[in-house]
Amino acid sequence: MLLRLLSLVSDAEAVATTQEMARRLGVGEGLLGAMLEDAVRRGYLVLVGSDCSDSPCSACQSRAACLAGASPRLWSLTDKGRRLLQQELGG
Amino acid sequence: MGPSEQAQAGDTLARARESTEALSIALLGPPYVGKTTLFDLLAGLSQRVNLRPGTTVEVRSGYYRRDGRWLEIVDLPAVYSLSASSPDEQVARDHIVKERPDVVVVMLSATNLEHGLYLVAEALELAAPVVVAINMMDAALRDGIRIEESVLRAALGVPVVAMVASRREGVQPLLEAIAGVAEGTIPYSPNPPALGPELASLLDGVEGLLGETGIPPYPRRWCAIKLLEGDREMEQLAQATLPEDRWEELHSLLHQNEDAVVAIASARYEWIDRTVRAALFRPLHDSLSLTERLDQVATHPYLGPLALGAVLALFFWLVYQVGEPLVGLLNDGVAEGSHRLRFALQGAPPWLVELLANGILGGVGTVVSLLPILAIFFLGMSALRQVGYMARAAFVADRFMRAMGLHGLSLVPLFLGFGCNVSSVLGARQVDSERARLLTILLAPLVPCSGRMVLLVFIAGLLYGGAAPLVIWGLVAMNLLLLALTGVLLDRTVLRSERPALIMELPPYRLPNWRAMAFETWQNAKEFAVRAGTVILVFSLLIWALADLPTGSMEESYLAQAGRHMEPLGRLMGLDWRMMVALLTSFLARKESALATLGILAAGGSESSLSVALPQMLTPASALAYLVVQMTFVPCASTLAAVLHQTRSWRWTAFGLGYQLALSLVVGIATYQTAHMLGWGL
Repeated sequence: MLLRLLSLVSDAEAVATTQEMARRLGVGEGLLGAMLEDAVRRGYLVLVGSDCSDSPCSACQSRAACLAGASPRLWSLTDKGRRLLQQELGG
Repeated sequence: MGPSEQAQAGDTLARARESTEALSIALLGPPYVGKTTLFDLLAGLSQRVNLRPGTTVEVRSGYYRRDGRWLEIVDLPAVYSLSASSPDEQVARDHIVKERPDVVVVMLSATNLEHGLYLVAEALELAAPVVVAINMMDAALRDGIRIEESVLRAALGVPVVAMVASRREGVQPLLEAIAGVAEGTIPYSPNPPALGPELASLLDGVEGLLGETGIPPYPRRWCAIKLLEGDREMEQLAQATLPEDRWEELHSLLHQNEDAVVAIASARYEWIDRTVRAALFRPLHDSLSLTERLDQVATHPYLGPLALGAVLALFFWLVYQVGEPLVGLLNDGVAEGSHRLRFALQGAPPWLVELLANGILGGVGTVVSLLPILAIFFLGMSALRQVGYMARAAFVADRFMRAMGLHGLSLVPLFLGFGCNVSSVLGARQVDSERARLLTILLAPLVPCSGRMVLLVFIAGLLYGGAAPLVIWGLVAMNLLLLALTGVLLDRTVLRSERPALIMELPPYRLPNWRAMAFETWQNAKEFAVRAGTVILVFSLLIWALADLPTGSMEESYLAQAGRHMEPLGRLMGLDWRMMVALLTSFLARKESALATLGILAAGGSESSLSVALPQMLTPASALAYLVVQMTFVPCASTLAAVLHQTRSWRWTAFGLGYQLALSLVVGIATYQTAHMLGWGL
């Protein structure tokens, strides 16, 4: 199921929403959320823009929106994820 | 806790420790499921905090007496899994394996059952005696979620107790289930995830290499699973425990199957999916939630872009309608202030009067009078972000931009550019591919920043009256179109790169947090005011001095002499030397400096305000050409410095500067000449 998720991410022609991805996988959004976190922890996906450690956060225009939880979260395949898909799917 | 209570708690602990029949209970669960509420309820004043040796992880423990029997309860750190990828996870799993509690209570939230079931799967694989407590049933019921306890019990093969810990509901059934499992008086036949024949055979191979004893005290099967999951701690223990040749063989097997973790995790997710499908019922979607209904339009492939255009048009209209009258009032105030100052300084040296009335009040005063537009702009942007619409706008824009060859990861940094291009350039660091990052950095200065927007709203308002919102909207659309075309051009020529796919989580629509909005607007307004009092003040004084020296006549000043060199180019756009100098200063300082410069030059020593002088300097056609150039002109010096810092390349920085300069002049000249040919507004 995790492999299918990675494969769907790889095949997406544009940004896909988590809602759309959950529908395609046939699972609930809660389970998809757990799978995304797991895939990040295992290094197959990366949460884009999650590393703001060296950025001047206080100067960022979107800081308040981030704090209010209104910013979108984005995930992208890592090299490890791409390599796995190439091995498994020969793609 | 007072001294008497401490003594009482000490007695309780001593009695409990003496009791050999005390049951040890471990509370395990992900964050925010109410585990601590349950612990506080049971342990009360007997609780104490222990620091786990070799870590900074604190674990709380306490005692509860039930039916004459002591229960020792340990509240383990909140974790999502038992992978030992964090100190919390390591402490939680070490406690279960090494302390061997009589019962492990895995607490889940009824509102997010899927998340917690992964932990249940791992606890069952660990062969721990498990009782599942599903908390927050009241919140789930409010959301229309129904959980069939009996079905879940049958699926997991372990006791399942529904509860609302905050109201003490379900606590007694939970204690009964704990006692039942510990004493073996209730059915207990756990069903951990089945790992499939291929994985099972692989696990047999790993178990074989671990030998009869495995890695004490960990269960051998579980060790094999964790080793295939790439668990570092297990690998280190295996290396330390096994003979060298067996470790080498095991290491080689693990290396060959390093992605077996995906199959293991998949098996767990399939198990969770099956369990949830059987036991959890969500409300039927005959009535869609507000978020879903709004998203049917906001994220629709065709309606979405139309909605985005409409939202932006409404936004600019509001900024103009509310901001422009306030700016007019402030601008008149600046002119009145200048008039009074001149009156009050009668008899003072003329240069001092001009410095204060024209240099400072004319320059900085004009810029400060833009504060209402800026405040409304940031308030609106903040509201759109916090309501959740900006995420949808990014989603819709991505489809458009991707169709034109742009990079998906560039989306968020480019959206930051609406506030300030510097944030946009710095935000590009999150784009992983070098070429895509460079493309994003080069495109960022084409996003209309707040400085440009302020200029646009002010000048369009003066020159176009009721048609101003349409002009503003059109110029923003032009910028975005030019940004997309530039992206296509660079992507298809020098910066071709692959476009990785993305998953985006759209936050639910919500009412904006007014405090956060006010904070964001205040922060930006403060930054603007500081800028006006420092950079723009210094710049205004410099412009005033250059416009006054050497003779005191502006037409013979150094600035006029320099500006006249640019006049031939300006004439192609219907702009005199003063407008060209203003354009140049928007690059040297901040974009808003252009208005400070115009405030000094347009007034030209007279007492009229910029709002009176500017319409006399520009025709509608030349104003349009100026706005077109200003919107696409080279970025301010701060942004350029950020570009140089991020690209670490003078060549690419110069390329970006040259490209944007050429682009702005071409579109500016084309705009004016087209208007000239059509005989419009000359």
